[in-house]
Amino acid sequence: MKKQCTEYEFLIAQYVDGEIEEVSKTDVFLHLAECGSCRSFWEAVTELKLQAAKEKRMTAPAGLDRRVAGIAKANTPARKSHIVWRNLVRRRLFVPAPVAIVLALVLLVSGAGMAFAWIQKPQQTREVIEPVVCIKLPTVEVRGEHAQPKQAFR
Amino acid sequence: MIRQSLSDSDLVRNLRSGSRDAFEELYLRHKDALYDYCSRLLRDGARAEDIVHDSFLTIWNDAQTLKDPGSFRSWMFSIARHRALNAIRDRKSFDELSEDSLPGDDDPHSILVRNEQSDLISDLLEMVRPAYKDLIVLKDYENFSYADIANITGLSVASVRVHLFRARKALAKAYSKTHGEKE
Repeated sequence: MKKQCTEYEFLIAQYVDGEIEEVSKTDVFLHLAECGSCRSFWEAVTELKLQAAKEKRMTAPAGLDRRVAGIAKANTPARKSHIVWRNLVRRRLFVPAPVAIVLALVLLVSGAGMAFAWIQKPQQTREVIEPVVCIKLPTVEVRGEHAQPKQAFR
Repeated sequence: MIRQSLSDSDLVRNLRSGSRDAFEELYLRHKDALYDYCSRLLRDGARAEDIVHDSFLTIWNDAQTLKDPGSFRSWMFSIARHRALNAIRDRKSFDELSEDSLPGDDDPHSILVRNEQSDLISDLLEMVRPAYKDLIVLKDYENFSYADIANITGLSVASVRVHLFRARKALAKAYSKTHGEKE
């Protein structure tokens, strides 16, 4: 029950701020009709909001006008363009530059590695490809005038 | 002289190209709201004046960094808020060093500000946490929406919703306490 009231208080705060969803409004009104605790919360919050609205707003002192007027006089647009460039350089280079350097280094290292491997590869293959093949040719014996050749495999 | 019919966004665009008139018009439009906000946070007129001045100096120098000219008001308040919170932090550490002196005690404008703020709600706001006070002032005095407050404070809209609820609950608790005592 208590948890339910906290949920309604959450909605009441949003209702007072004018930020509640339409769907929840009826729900809040129905609950307020039957719950005294939430009703007193709603009354307090509304009262405080009204008090704030009634309160007199403070106005900036005249001395501030003179001080702020001096800002635009002291700083010329030429100086501002320098700031634009500074900000541009900061924004454009602060993150991309280190990333580009790291990428370039990675590419350089991997490229060098691949080149080294490529140079090494033919020497290795030459050693591997040279096989020692031993083939013993058959001995052929020919006897007589029409004798058939006789093959002997050992 | 800049016409008052121009919107803040148009003025910010002119300010970016270095228009002093645009800067002046923006200052005239927003100086009281910004001063009111800073005074409520700090309860020190002289310090609030310094912060508004410094904020407009930042606006003049860094107008080019504002991506969306439509969000000028939120941006301006976020600059002032950042400075005001730093000032509160500095003052706290200063107060710890010298407990017998209140900030801006001798300044007549500060005395006037304190007298103007002697209303019920201002006193109650002093009883809640500074973070809650900040949100209440932004919502109830400066009439910002939850989305704007999220932009100013750097919180999400959902967090603003929850924090403002807690702020209202704390304020209502303080109110019923003092209200009950008076009755």
